[in-house]
Amino acid sequence: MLNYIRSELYRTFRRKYTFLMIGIPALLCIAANLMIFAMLHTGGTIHSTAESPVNGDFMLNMLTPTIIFLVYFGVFLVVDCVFSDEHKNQTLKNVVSFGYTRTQIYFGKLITQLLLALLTMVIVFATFALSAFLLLGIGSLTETLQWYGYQLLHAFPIWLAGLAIANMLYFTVKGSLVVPVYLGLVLFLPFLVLNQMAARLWPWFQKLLPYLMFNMLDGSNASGPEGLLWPWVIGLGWTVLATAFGVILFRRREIK
Amino acid sequence: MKENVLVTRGLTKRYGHFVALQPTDFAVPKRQIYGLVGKNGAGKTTLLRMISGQTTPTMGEIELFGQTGEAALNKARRRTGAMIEAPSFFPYLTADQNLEYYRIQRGVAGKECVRELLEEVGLTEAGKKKFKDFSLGMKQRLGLALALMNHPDLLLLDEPVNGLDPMGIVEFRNLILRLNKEKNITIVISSHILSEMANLATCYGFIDHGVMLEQVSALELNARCRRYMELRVDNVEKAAAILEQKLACTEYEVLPGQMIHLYQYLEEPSRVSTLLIEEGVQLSSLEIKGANLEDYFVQLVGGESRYA
Repeated sequence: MLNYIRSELYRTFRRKYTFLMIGIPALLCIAANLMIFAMLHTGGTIHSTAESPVNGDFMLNMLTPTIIFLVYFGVFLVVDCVFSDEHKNQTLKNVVSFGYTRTQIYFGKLITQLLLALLTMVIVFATFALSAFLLLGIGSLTETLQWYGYQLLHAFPIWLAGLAIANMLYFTVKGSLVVPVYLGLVLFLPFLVLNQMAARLWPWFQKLLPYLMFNMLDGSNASGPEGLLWPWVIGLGWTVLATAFGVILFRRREIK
Repeated sequence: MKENVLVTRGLTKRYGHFVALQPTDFAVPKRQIYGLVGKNGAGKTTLLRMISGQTTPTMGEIELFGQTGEAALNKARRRTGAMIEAPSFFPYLTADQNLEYYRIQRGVAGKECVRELLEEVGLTEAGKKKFKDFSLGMKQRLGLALALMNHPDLLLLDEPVNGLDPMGIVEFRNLILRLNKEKNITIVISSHILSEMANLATCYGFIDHGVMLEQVSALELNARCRRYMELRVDNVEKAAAILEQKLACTEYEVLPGQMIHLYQYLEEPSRVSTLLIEEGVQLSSLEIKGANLEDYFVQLVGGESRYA
């Protein structure tokens, strides 16, 4: 399987799409910091004061939750980069006819996607933090980085679950254009439905709401190791379920 | 006893109520070029897809290099190369990059093998071209390059000459013959172009409507399809004696109904007819007959031959 992963990484990094997927968010992060920098230094409406400093810490605190939510819905881009229209191009048959099992192919792609996702996460979030600190200065570095790292650690298992669900959909659904729609429904619809049901039908559903993946993303009110427990349990649980389901469905699938 | 590299026993494929392949027993001897002959939708591709692992059989067993069972078959498939239906690659990668991707995936050592493969199939100049810009013939060649990448002992080729121009077909034929003779590669090839098959195959499997009708060696098929001169005379004993004494004929058969099948002098029918008439034999008809692969196949599956 190692050879399979190496080949997938080789192919993934020969697509312009991959570099755009990493580069554009990174540039947008820099742009956001640049914009605030420009507004601070050109007599704009934003003013930095001792009580309310507009610095790198401020930017991280303000934008990190938004970026975390955007990543949650954007995980399919990582999967799409790696999966790359294999159904449409009918290239899976070349792998299967060489003797790779469907399970090896499934996990090979999942691991490649995870590696790409980690790389993207490191580049984008490091760029965001670094550009914020360089352009806007640092308030309390240790505290801010600890908080920043905690938020990422809190969100990571939920992103991983989103990746696993997206991977399952790409393997089982034929048209890759449809997958983001299905994924959006899977990641967001339970929240919407339960919210409405809790409000209109049965308040008991209110108890389930905090455990939905969508609601697990925001770690602003969490702290300490106990604050990480449920996101990791829910995230890993969904990851295992989605992966198992995906492997079972893919093993039955005819390769055209 | 001939060693078989590929054997199927009762191999069957059903899609709901539709039976794409009836229980099929199929054997490919080592170092042979096995020609799989059948009409569109006969089941040739279904058979090859099951052997290559793309489709799971409904029933039956595949034995590849003496190995059976899913795990052993997957391992054995590493000794095969396959080009089933249209060759498929990543359109945004060049030919070089597509082959390099598979080279890494298959653990084939030596980056130079990509260049060597492209040379082997006549795509040296097209290495930097993206697959999406390839012509159909170029795609077929690249597919063949991939099938050869891991130095297979068995090649599975489904309609490999589709899209090749006449020169390409000749080059392909020579390549297949060379691979078989010099590298001892066993080849299973399906094709609609029966004339090409006749130039290549050393044994045949005829398949129609999901049923393997017959498996026969090329030698045996040639014997069945052998050309002859059919003579209808009034006195077969006299005619046979004349053919032996005057023309030194040894290859002929006397058949009921005052008929002789002569396997010699096929290019000189007038010489034969003139001699018999001069010697006082009444010749009521003289015809050159005999089936080619196309005629044999048409007769086997039922249908009108253009020679009828």
